[in-house]
Amino acid sequence: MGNEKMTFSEEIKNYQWDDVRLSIYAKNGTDVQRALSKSRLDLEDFKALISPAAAPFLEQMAQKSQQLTLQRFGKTQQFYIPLYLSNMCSNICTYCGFSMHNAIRRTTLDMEQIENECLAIKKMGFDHILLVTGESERKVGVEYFKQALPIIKSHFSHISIEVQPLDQLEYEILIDYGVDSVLVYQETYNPVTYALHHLKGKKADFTYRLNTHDRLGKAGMHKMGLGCLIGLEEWRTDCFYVAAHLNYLQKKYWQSRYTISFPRLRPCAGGLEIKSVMDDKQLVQLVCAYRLFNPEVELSLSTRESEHFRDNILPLGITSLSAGSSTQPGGYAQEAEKALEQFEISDTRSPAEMAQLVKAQGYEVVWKDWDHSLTGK
Amino acid sequence: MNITVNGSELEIAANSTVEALLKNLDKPLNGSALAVNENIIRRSQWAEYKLCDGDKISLFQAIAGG
Amino acid sequence: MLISNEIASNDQLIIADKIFTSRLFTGTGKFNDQRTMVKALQASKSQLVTMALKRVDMRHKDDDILAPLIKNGMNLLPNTSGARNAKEAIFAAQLAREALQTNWIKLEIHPDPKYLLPDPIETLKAAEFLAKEGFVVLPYVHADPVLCRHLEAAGCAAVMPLGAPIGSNKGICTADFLEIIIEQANIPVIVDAGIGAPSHAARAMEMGAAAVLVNTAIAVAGDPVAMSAAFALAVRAGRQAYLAGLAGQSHYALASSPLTAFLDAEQMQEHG
Repeated sequence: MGNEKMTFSEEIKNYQWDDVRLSIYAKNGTDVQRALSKSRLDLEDFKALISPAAAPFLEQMAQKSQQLTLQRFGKTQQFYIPLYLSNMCSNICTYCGFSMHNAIRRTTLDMEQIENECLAIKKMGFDHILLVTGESERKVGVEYFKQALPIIKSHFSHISIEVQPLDQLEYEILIDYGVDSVLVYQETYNPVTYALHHLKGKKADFTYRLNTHDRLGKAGMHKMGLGCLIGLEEWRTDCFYVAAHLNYLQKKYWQSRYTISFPRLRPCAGGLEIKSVMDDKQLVQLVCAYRLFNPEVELSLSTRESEHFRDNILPLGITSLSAGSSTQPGGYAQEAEKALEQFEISDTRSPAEMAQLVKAQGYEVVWKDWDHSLTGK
Repeated sequence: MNITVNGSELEIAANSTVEALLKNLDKPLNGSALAVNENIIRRSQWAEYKLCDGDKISLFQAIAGG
Repeated sequence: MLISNEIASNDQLIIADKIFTSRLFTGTGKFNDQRTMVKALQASKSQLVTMALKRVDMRHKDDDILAPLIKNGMNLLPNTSGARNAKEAIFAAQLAREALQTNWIKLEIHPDPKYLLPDPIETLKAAEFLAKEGFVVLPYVHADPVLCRHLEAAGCAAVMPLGAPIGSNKGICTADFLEIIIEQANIPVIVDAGIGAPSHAARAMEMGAAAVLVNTAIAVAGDPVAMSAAFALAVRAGRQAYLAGLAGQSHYALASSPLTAFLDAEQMQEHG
């Protein structure tokens, strides 16, 4: 029964971590085959597809994933670029280059710098931009965004943001200022592990972060992104929670669109030991599993992954890519001195090179998603 | 006084209540509903609601139907 | 959706304030006589029965259908058939509430007398009003997923999308859309209208419908009592199959060119 007050932190109680993990590992080849033959999959099928038992079926999963993606999205790839506005952060997260205790040069772009960055980015062809900041409510909060957004909106037709979780009212304000999409990653859905990695700052509040998408849905945000930081916890279990979260959100906030990313832990200044290593084969398995479970969700691949890997996974379910990324504040207007990147970029090819590659694979690059021109913004 | 029930004219005692009317017509209370001049009269009021001269009554009953 | 492979031993259907153990709902229309109707409904083991409301014929006494139904423990669901717009449906709902002393109402608005297809706009209007007034609204509609989302948001207790036009007995013509509705709904989905055979009912249940409503197929069968019992079995079978997890059909033949060969070559190169 639809309950207005229900949020995901309530729903998640239906999924006990260890029960989920055990049931994933209990899936066998028959479960996988059943999942592969169904046209409408449920969460149990998703578990089968991300279980070890699905590994021998990878080629079949890839075929089906490619087919479903083509049917739903056509031969297109959406290009976007991240613009880091600030690396100020008041959290301590063990895995991140921006962590408060890392002695790096902190900088926040002022309005003039933002304008210059936008101009430089426009020259590369982009119309979809992802604005990224650390999480610093006081210095880089809604007031800052209210100043920056009009400038950015004048250049780009689609704005996504990846910033600290905000209140519902704040999201409603940002929608008025032109934000189309918000990405918030739970990092890990295991609260105990979460506490181990988020030592200080507002980000230490697991539940507030977990309910962010409910606040986004209630605010009427057009699009939202979710995911976990693969490697913090046992990846199959954590990724199941992403699927369960998506499942819950789609049923509740049915007028919103969804996008999933799959950042794999990479080395950063802290040199964190990764708990659960996901190899390339497993990432392909995960992408295909998401696609089979949800033919409509956008699957987005960043420049964290290598050139070779990106080239080959592109036609297997991906629908959105970044290219030419800089993961430090600014970085496009001029060859900036390194303030320290949030994560190390593995694919450093330019947007033009990526566009050529995408075309060579038989896809059209979508710089501007025309769905949005009807909203009159 | 004169009233009409589902288009048919009927003569009843002055100050009759709805309940009296239904008993008069030999209609079961359970399964019946009634509107006076297009206003539905709630069952809880049937014992007290007094009909007036010229009232147009619509009387409904639950019947078989999908 | 189930989160484990165990089949629920207590498979109850909860709608508003009522709990049902039978997922076969039935209608009372089109039977040749009341005795047959009652026997057929008993054979169905149905716990929810629909009926209409009509102006009383002053000239002769209509059968009292309520007493035998209530005696058999069946819950009553009056419908608003005859209403051609929201205003009439609301009036009918209010009358039904008085007549049967229940706030449950099946919203049925079909201005088109030929196919008896439900009017989506008037239905949504009426549903919004009646739900606010505290009625337990079960709207009969076309299998339109977006409309069903709006009805859910309006406060309906369930949705009743059609399988095919009323009385057509054509079965589940709207399967693709029913699947979407079932996938997206947070309230029970009761497939109503068009079910002509027990296999149709089983199919609806296998798809994940919460219940089905059957009237014509039972009432006009050669032996309504036997047909009713058959429907009861079919609904149970379909539901059990759904809970057991169906196998699905294989659609994909494996093409020859491998998409994932690049991973084998990559085994040695692990980016750390």
